[in-house]
Amino acid sequence: MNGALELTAFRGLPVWELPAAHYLLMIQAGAFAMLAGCASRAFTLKSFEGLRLWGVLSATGLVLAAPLNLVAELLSPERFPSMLYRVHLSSPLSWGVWAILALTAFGLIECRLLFRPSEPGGAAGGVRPEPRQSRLIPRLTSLAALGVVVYTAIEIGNAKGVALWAGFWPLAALLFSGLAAGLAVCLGLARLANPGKGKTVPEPLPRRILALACALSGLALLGWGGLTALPVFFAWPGAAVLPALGAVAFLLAAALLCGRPRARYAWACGLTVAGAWAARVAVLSVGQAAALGRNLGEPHLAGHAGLLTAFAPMAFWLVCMLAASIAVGRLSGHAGRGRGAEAKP
Amino acid sequence: MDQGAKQETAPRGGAGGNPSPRTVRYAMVIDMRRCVGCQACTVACAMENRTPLGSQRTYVGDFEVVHEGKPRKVLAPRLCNHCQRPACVPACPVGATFQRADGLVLVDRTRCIGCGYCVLNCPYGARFLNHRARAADKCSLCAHRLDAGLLPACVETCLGKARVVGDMNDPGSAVARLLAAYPHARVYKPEAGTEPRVFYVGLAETEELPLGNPARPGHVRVTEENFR
Repeated sequence: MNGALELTAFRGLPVWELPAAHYLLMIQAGAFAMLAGCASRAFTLKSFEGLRLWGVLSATGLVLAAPLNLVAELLSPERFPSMLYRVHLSSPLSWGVWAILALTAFGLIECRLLFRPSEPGGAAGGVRPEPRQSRLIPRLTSLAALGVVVYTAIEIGNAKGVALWAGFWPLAALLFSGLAAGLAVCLGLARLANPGKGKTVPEPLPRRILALACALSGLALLGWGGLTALPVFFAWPGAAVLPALGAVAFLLAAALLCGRPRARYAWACGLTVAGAWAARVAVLSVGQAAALGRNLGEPHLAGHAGLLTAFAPMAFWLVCMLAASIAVGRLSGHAGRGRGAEAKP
Repeated sequence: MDQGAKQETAPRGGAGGNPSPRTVRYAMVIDMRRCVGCQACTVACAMENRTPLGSQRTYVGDFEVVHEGKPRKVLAPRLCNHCQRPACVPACPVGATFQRADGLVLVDRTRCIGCGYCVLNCPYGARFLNHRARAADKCSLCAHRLDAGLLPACVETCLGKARVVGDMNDPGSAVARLLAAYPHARVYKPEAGTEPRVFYVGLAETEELPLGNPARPGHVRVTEENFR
């Protein structure tokens, strides 16, 4: 009813808190990073060959670490395994778990393939694939990554109790920012892993896609905030801060990538990930606040699990990436010495 | 509970009777003219079902509205609508939320993993996460009491007898009679397509059922947080 004043509204606590936002960020970024990592092999996109190594490694780490957020978010985490044998296809969460399992399995296989000496773009710096190498595994991996992306989109867009999650804008904000975050993660890691190459700029196509995704994410976030969630923002001005900050971060990152990619490349990747984080926290907290009656109060971001638990999976992913960089460094060192020994007469 | 509803809890049919038993379908009719907003139903439900402090399976929404140029107070009891086509049941990834043959939508706490997706799928905000029970929680229409032939706690305690529960498929039940007397009984969010089975009667034909929806312009929800 328009103009109604509800005086004794009982409020509901938010259901999906900070771990859920981290889960969405990590699983979507992981899926898109895996797509970027497999693009050169699955679809013969040579522009993405530079992302093969760190796309697959970072994505596998992300899909391994992301479900830890999900477990932390559950009220009964000990019953999490029941999602594997009690399959209800009507629920996107149910088949989403199987999509994540498939992506994890294929990601681990891809990681194993990366350490073959002949793998193009792999850890040993191979240039020519073995004749019998199949495109089946990269294509299946890409399919599983697409399944994860679709599952997250349906999971959010199909939640009938949260009006602010329905429609074009929130989905566009989440998907474009997921694509941007995935590309930023693997481009940033590839840059960090090659410090000797100084200001090496990656292939123009992934960089342009990243810039475009950043720009679209910023615009979608502004569209969501301005067109869909504006009434809530009037009731709770604090809710406007996160979408605005996220949009500014994305637009700034897009400007940096388009303007001076050599000088501010790392900043652009960092801003992109920060914007994707802000977008998810904003969409989840503001949407639930409007639906459950928290629009006038604090968003309870940390949730029941606590801040340390909320950030632990990200720390775990960083440890995984450190271990991966050590393994890649050793293998490439051995390969370089091996090639050097062969070159000597 | 009306006499018809009490009888529905016992098995039907018999040697000399109709071999095909009639389907029981529990429903609630709320007469908004009778509700005084005392929240006795809220307290009775919390005591009966031992919900945690701050979480309610049912409450009375207190709205101030302007109808035909005059300010007016509307009291709207809220609870799970036990929908015919509930959105929460297919959303549950482990089947912990289910619908009984008599239409009641219930939660199996031994199965629930506490993911909260059912809460986010309920268009009526009737569910919450019970952190003490570590599971989703909602009104069960006091299924344990109905099965024992008793009234739900909120119905039994209602001072103005605003809440009536029973079998809407039994033409003789009070619920069916009320629905027949008020063919324009309202339900919340009919556009959601869930076919709610909690009906509201007693509003003027030109008056809308008030709904707490802060996403709509001009609608202000006031909680104690305003006064902090």
